[in-house]
Amino acid sequence: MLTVEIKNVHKQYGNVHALRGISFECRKNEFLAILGPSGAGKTSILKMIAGLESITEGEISVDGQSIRSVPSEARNVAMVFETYALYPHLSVFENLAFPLKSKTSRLSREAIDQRVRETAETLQIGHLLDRKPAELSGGQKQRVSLGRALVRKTGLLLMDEPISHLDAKLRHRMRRELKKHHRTLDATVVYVTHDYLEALALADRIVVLNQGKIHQIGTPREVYHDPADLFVASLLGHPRINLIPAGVKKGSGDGLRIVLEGGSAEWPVPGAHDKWTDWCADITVGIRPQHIRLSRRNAESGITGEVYVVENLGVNHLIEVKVGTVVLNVLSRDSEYTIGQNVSVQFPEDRVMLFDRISGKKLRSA
Amino acid sequence: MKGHFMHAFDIQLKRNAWITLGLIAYTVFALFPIVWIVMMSFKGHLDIVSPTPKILFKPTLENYRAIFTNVSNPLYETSRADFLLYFKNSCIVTVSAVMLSLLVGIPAAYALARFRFRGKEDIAFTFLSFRFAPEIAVIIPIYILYQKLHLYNTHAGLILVYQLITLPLVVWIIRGYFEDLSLEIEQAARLDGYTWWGVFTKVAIPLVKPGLASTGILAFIFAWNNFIFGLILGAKETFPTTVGTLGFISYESVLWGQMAAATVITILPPLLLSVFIQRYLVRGLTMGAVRG
Repeated sequence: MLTVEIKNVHKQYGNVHALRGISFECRKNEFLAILGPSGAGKTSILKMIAGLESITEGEISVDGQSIRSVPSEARNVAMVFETYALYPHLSVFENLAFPLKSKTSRLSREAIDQRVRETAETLQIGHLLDRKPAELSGGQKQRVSLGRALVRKTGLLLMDEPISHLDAKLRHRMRRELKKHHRTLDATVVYVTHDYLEALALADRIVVLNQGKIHQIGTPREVYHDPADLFVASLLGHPRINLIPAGVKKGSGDGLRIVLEGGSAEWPVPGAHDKWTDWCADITVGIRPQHIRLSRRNAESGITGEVYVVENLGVNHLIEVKVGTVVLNVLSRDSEYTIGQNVSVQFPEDRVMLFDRISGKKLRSA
Repeated sequence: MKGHFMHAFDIQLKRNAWITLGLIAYTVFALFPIVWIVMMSFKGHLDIVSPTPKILFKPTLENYRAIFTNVSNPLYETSRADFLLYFKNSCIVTVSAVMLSLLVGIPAAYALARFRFRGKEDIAFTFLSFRFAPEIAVIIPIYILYQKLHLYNTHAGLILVYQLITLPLVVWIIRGYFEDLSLEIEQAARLDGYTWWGVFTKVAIPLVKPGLASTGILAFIFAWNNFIFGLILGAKETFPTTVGTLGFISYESVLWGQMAAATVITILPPLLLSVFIQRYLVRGLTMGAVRG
């Protein structure tokens, strides 16, 4: 039940400028995900909030109070580490009890015992209390490390890629459990991940970070459907969004038209500005694979292409379609396409995103 | 095909045989002096001085009885070897020296491994440099110093000077263990509400325990085997056994049997320690097993 505010924070490791002026805030009880590729500076943010790393420049405050001068042990912050960081010499019970036995905690033996057992029950590790970390599976270690963070009931919970080392099935299950726990928990969560699915599934809001800079802050919906730039657009979604180089030209009569490179297709720009011809000769058209419509018949406003590869993914089929010099990834439920077949490709207007190719910034989107 | 396989098998077998042979040769080479001393300690004087070395002899416990009851052969009046006292001295000085080194060295090693401060590497290097010069090179200044400070011929003096042997060992080896610990485990403990001291005592030390044991034993062996410091800075009240066994050499004769018995008793503590804690020793020296 805390707010966290990060104001213009810089982090420098020697000559490496890891964070370049980061600002965002985390609201009460919010589940905030920081999403970015490795080396983006995600973990640095967490460690600075935790006080494990110094702040080169800027301010971090919790509930309006600057935490710069508060040592880690007094910050009342719990953290789940990517490596789990369990105490190998202590049993699971002792691992969970460890934060409760600190001088800042001051709980009676009975209270500690009860809390540990309670937490272990919710995480279904009650039967493992006597084991040492070395005797646990990856998933069990993960639960214990989560338990050690939850047992203290802190208002602020930091998670650094907590489930990225689990196998796919378990990861999915833990994802759902984390979501459930957050609802019963009275805590603000800052969650670092490189997996866009985790961020979309868990977070109330997502901060997209790359090379020490924030690209976008928004709800999962906003970040996925209305990406601020090319980086965000290509970070989220699998198969990756189609990014097609294109240009803008004045059409005959119906205003501006977008021309795909190679001149293979062009179509009118809905709601386009006249200004575009001046400064946006180079644009990038973005459209997600599942939004491209294929048909076997020639449609009027379509573009023609040739089926290149068809992959069966179960429910969907991933179809590569060659249009001029461009290869498009298309997800379709229709399995009737064969290699070499000519198809008509349609970009639904409300699904097309347009980006300035030079700056990468969004021009317009659905 | 089968012939080829057999051929390869033969080569493998031959290679193993050669390796085994080599190991046996080395074992004989390494153990022979010890076996010889053990045998000598059970021999009577005539068997020892016999011109042809005797493998078969009538064993006697006379040498051991002599050193433990502190009754030297009355025939050799000038021989004065109070073995029990020397053994006690060795125990007091070595154990105390190792304890002191661990007490001072473990926190020092932790600081050198984990904290950032000015001159850190210089300090670490200074510790190491204590081992650069041979002891004999510094013994005379130390001797003069000890005379002036009244540390000459005292247990405290020897314990202090033994730090030159044990402290660098402790600091450098244990620093390595601390550096190998996962930083995140210690960071987790910080966030769990512990100060650096709490992390040090409750997490770091328990995790390097096997390393502490092996380092302590190594330091013990080095200190126990030291000769020169005891010889120069001690006198007959404080001699360790290494020096004390010299007392079996007298004007009239050398008491080879008692010297051998004293030597056997002297090598027992480090030997037993090594054997009992071998499992720990191997684990400690090949750590990395610490990571959960």
